[in-house]
Amino acid sequence: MEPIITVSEISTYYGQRRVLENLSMEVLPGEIMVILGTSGCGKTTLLKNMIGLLEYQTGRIELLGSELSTLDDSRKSELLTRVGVLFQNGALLNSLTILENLSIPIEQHTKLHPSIIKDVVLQKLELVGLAGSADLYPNQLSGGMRKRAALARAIALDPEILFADEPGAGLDPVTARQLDLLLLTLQKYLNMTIVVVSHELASIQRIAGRISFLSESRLLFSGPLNEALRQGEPAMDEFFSSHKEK
Amino acid sequence: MAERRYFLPEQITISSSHSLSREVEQILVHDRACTDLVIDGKNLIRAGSILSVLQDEWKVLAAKKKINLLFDNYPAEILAFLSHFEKKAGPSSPAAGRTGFFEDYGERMNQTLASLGQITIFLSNVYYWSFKAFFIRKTRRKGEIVRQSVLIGLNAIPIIALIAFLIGLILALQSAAQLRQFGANIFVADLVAIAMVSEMGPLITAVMVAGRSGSAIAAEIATMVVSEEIDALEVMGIDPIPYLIVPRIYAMILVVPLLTVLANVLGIFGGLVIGLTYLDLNVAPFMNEVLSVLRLKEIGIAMLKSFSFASIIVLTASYLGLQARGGSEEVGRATTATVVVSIFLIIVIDSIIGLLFYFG
Repeated sequence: MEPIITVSEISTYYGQRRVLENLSMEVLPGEIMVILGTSGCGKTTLLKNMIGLLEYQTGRIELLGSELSTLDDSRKSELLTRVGVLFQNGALLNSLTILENLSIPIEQHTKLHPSIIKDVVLQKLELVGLAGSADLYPNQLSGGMRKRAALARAIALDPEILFADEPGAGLDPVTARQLDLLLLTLQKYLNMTIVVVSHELASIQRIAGRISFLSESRLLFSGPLNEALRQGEPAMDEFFSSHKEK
Repeated sequence: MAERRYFLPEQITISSSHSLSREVEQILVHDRACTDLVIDGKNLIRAGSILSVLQDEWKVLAAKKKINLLFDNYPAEILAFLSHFEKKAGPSSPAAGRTGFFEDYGERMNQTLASLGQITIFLSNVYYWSFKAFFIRKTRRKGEIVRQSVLIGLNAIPIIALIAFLIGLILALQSAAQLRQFGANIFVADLVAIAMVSEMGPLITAVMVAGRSGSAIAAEIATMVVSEEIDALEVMGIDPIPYLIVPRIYAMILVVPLLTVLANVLGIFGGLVIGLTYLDLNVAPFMNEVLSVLRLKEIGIAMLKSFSFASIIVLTASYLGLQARGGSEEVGRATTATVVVSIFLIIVIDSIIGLLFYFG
C-alpha cells in the first residue's frame, strides 16, 4: 500500500536549536498514526512540518503525493482542502458562532448554496454530538464541547487526512475518552487517515493503529504499539513505565 | 409522463459537489415533463458525506414539485456509509418564541436598569476605595501611581504639546485676518487666551488622553478579565478596584490638569508666534493682554473641566474594561467603546459646565 504521507530525512531548527534531526516515517491510508514522546521532543514541530505551517531545513515531506513546500499558493490551497487540522486549543474564532466557524472552510472552498452549507454544518455537528449548539459562541461551550466543535470544523470538507494535536489536552478522562471514540468513529465512517500527536498512554492504547516514538529530536520507533512495548529501548521503557505508575 | 435517469459521477466530494447539485436541481425545477427522477449510483466509487445532504435537499425539492424521486443502483458500501448520516439534523437551537413589542421594550428597560445598577455599584466602590486607599497604602501596588502617571502624563507630553501649539497657532491665524481689518490686532491675544484656557486646552487634552490612555486602560483591564487575571486576583483576596483602578484614578486626576496647563501655555505660545510674525505685535504687550484678560474664574473653570474629564476617562475605561466577557474580540470592543463613550461624555460635561458658568 502506497503511503499517504512520507517524511524523508527532515531536519528542523528553531534558530540554532535543532528540534528534529534526519527524521523519516510513513503514514498509510486509513490508519491512525500516533506520534508520541515526552514534552519538547518535537512532536508538534513534526506535525507543523507535515501541514506546512513550519518550514524544515533539509529533507522532504510528501502529503497526498505532493510536496507542500514546492506548490504554488492555489495548488497548496487545493491540497489543504483534503486535510483537516484539530489544534490543541481548538482555535475557533471567538467572534463567530459555531455555525459560522464551521461554514468558513466550506464557503471558502466550494460554491454551494448557503442553505446546503448550513445543512452540511448541522450534519457535522450532529456527527460530533453537538446538534443544537450551532448558534452558540465558542465561549459559551465547555472545553470538551469546544474541542468537538473544532473537530467538526476540521472535518467540514470531508478531508482524507485529519491531524490532531493533543486532542485530549486539558480535558477530563471521560471527555478525553469520548473524543478518542469520536476519532475512531470518524475513521470508520469517513475512512480517514488520522495523525494524532499525544503523550497520553490511555488515549494511545485506545486509538493507535501504529505509533511513531520521538525522543531527543530523533525517531526511535515506528510500528504497532504492542511491538513498541516489547522493544526494550530505555527511553520508551521509561515513558511507558512512568505512565503505568500514574 | 416522463422518467428521467441521472447517473452520479464516480467520485463525489464536497469541493466538486456544486455542479452535481445544480444539474439535479435543473431537472427537478425546470424539466416540466419529468414526473419520475431516478438518481442512479451505479458509477459511484467514492462519496463524501455531502451526498447525504444533497439527497435530503433533492427529496424536499422533489416533494415540492410533485416528482417521484428514487435512488437506485447504489453500491452496498456507499449505502452503508450514507446510513451513518441518514438522520437529518434538527433545528440548530431551540426556536426562540416570537416576542411582542411590549416584551421587547420591557426586556430593554430591564437591561438598562440592570446596567444603571451595575454602574452605580461600580461608582460607589470606586469612590469608597479612592477615599480609603488614600490612607491605606497596602491596598495598591507600590509605585503604581508613579508608573501610571508616567504612562498617562509624561509619555503624552510631546503629542499634546504639539497639538496644543498648532491649535493656538490656527486660532490666531484664523482670527488675525478679521481683527486686522478693524485695527484690533492686539485682541488676538485675548481671543487665543480665552479660547485656549476656557475651552480648547482642556478639551484637546481630554480627547487626546481618552484616545491614548483611556483606550490603553480599557484594553489592559479587558485583557485581564478575559484571561481570568481578575478572577485570580479575587481568589487571592485582592479587590481589583483598589489594586488596579484606584492607582489609575489618582494618576489620571493628577496628570490631566497638569497636561491641560501645558496645553494652555503652548496654545497661547502658538498665538504669540502668529502675533509676532503676522500681526507685528511685540511679546510684552501680547503677554500683558493675556494676563489682563485671564481671570481666576477662567483658570478655575479650566481646572474643573480637566478634573471632570480625567474622572470621566478613567471611570469609563475601567468600567467598560471590567465589563468585557468572553474572548479577545471583547478587548477590541471595550477599547473602541471607551474612546467613543469618553469623548461623548467629555463634550456633554463640557457643555454643561460651559452653560453653568456662562451666566455666572
